[in-house]
Amino acid sequence: MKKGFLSLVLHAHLPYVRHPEHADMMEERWLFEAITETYIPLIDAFEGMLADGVDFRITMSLTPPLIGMLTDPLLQERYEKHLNLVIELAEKEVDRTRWMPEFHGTAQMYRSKLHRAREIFSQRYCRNLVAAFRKFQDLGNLEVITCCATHGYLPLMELYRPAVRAQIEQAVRDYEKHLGRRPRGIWLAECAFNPGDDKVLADHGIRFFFTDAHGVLHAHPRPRYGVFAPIYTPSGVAAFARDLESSKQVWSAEEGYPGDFDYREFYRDVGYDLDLDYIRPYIHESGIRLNTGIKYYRITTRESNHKEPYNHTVAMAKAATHAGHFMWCREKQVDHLCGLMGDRPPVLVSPYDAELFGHWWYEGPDFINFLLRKVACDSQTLELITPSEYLGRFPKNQVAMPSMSSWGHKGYHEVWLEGSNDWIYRHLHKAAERMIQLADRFGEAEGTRRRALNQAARELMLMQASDWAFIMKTGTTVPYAVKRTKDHCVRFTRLYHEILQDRIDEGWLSELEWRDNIFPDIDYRIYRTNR
Amino acid sequence: MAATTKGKDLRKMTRLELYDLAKKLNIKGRSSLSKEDLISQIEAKQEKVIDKADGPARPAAPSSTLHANSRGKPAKKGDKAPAARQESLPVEGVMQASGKPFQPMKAPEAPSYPAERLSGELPLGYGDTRIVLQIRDPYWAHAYWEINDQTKAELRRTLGDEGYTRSSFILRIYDVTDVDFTGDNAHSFYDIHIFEGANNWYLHLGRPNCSFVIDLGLVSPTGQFILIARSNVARTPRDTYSDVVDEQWMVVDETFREIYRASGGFNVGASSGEIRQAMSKRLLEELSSGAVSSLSSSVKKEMPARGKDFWLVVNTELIVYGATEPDARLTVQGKEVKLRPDGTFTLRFALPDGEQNIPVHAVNHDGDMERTITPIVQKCTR
Repeated sequence: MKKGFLSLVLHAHLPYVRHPEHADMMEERWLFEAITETYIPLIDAFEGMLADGVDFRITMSLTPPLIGMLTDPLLQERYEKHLNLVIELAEKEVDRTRWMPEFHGTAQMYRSKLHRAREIFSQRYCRNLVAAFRKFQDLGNLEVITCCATHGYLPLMELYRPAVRAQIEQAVRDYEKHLGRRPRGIWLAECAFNPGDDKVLADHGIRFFFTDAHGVLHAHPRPRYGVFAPIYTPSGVAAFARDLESSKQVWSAEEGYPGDFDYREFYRDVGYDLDLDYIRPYIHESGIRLNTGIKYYRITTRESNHKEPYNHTVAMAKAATHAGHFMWCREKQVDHLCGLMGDRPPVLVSPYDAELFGHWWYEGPDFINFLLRKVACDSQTLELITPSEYLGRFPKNQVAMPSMSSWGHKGYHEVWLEGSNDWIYRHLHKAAERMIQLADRFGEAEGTRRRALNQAARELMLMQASDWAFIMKTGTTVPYAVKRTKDHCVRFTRLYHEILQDRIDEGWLSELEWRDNIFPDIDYRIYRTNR
Repeated sequence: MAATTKGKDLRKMTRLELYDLAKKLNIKGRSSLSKEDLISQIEAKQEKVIDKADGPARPAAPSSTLHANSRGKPAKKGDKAPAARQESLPVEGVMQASGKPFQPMKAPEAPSYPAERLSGELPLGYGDTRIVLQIRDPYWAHAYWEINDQTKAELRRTLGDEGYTRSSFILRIYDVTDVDFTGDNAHSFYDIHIFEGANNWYLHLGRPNCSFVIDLGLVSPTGQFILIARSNVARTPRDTYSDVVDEQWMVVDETFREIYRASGGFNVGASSGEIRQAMSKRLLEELSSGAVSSLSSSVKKEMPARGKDFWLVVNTELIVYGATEPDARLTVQGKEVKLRPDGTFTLRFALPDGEQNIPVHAVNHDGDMERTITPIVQKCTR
């Protein structure tokens, strides 16, 4: 057996941004960019390892809203259309840069990557990328875990336990529908844990979740192995904690790998740099310039705006170097920990937002590819492992209750509860209270009333997405987040009154079902108090 | 909420009460109005309310774009919602909406236009009297509350108009760690004075791993505390490792401290915040239609700032276009070009300094006829 374990966890999530009512809704591009730059490159990397016989292990949470969008026919069609347009642009770029050797190679790289993306998306997986992830799960290389149904922030829902439970129950049902079995693990939205939530997880057959380092470190009683082994909560669910050292190497603004000067610069995009007439078909239909994903420069320097042309070969070599460095650091860490851990090999849990790899850090998926290959093939010290496998091998763990925590700035709830977003909670709470009231009152509704109750549950869940509070805090695209919060609340409230007064406007209900169509088979009874 | 207050009742109210009412009615410049002016403005507003309440339900006039502010705070940039409020929307509590009178509570009317029923502003409250306590971190909590009109009326009855006006609102914070709180068995408590218009507050509790309850109440001029609402119990998280050691899993203190250090225990929360935030920002910022208004803000990004100095960028491109038989094969500089269905083609090249020979070569479908035309382009920059 190796001396220690590395468990890479990628949290893949986007808020539900499906807008059938608009032909070119910019928010849908969040999804399109993530598909092209993150999800497809990761799938491609997994395919490559499979073809080369590399026995890798990785864990990914696919959140229910993301799964909902990836399997939605309208968005699949729109993505394909989007991809075809970008491919058209990439073809033109290969022509345009013909006399500019410093850019021509990069233009060719985009063209070939995008063609490959289309091959993976349209041909190999028939537009359904969830099928790809499911395949790697069935092969045993990938462990797919779930997340709160709409990425609801559980500690700030504490007063309404049935609403907390509904976030979990809906997630489990959705997972089962798309992945063909029940989830063994969960990524709690924003890694936010509140003592007591573990009981809800246990009730739904979930065997493990994650906390930030101090969630486990400040557990009660004191955890013998710190963050380097999971603990069991009193309800028997395992809590794995984030290893901060490995996080910092990737995340840190100063020392993190993504800031390397050889890596691709995000802020120089042809969408902004080229002649408007030329670029017009590939930007927003209103003529507003935006990122197309085609970028020719490397980061170059932090000090000035001077940018040198990007060289993909050099960047790939750098990603391989960084993967080697990351592995070396983990090996040193394990060597050091062995003396402290006694007979228990340490497990280093390294969770990241999946969209970091590809969208933020263009070469990120290649880094993951190199890292998994290196550890699987070269490391004498480290072994890749998924949380389920770890618990299979080490079923005996200390029992302790983790502390309330999140992975947000400062480690608690401040990001989601501060001046910009604290106003939402009185509305979220009232809606949760009312939903529970409705579910208790209408035990077995049928027909239109049942539809209205289910739609009310959808509106509540969409309103509860932690993304809205997060966006309000970050200060960009705030109007969209505010509008989404208000819209779902207004829709919910009206449904509530119409249901209670038994005067449901069916036409309007159909409109809502068409617009806010997340979880087509949701059952409002998950909100009942006594279950 | 009663729809209106009669003129003579208004005259019985204090200026402060009138001010509150004016605030609810969103009368502009209310803080500088005299009592008489307040009364006349309120009366004017209320008449409009009666008109509306008695008239048939109809959609709001299209011109009345509302910039409603439902939180009693200055409106922020992001608050503008384009949707106009519907008359038939069930209103809870009291609404503030500039340019429009507040609306009395009534049942929803017949259905109106669906598209306009999809958005709107949120109520200031829900007609409850309650206070909710939420923990933010080991040291801080947030409380929000609501006092409904009935409760206010009762308080006024109990204290008398003058007593009520001269009372002050407080939050009483009890440390109830490990006790079943009954109202008088807290370990300790302290008060925070709040102003009447507030509906939420950040509280410095300062004690990790302790439980708290908050009473919202009034302190009368005689010093009597009158409870309005009591919060839920909430517990702050621990801010360091537990001092309880599990016998089964014991290690010497030095070993644990080293594990704690290696786990990053002395660096809690100095996590990934900055980059995650920057990442999300970047993911979102270029790509949002927002609530329409952000469209205009994106336009500004067209020209990236390149420092303070005056600047000029000039690039050149060359367009090569033409036509041949639709089924012919065409190459430009030896590279095949796909013809459009009508046999035309267009190529656009970035044109660096220097000379370009651009042989355009076409061969017909049968391969027995061909043409070559070679433009030569020279570009230099001075």
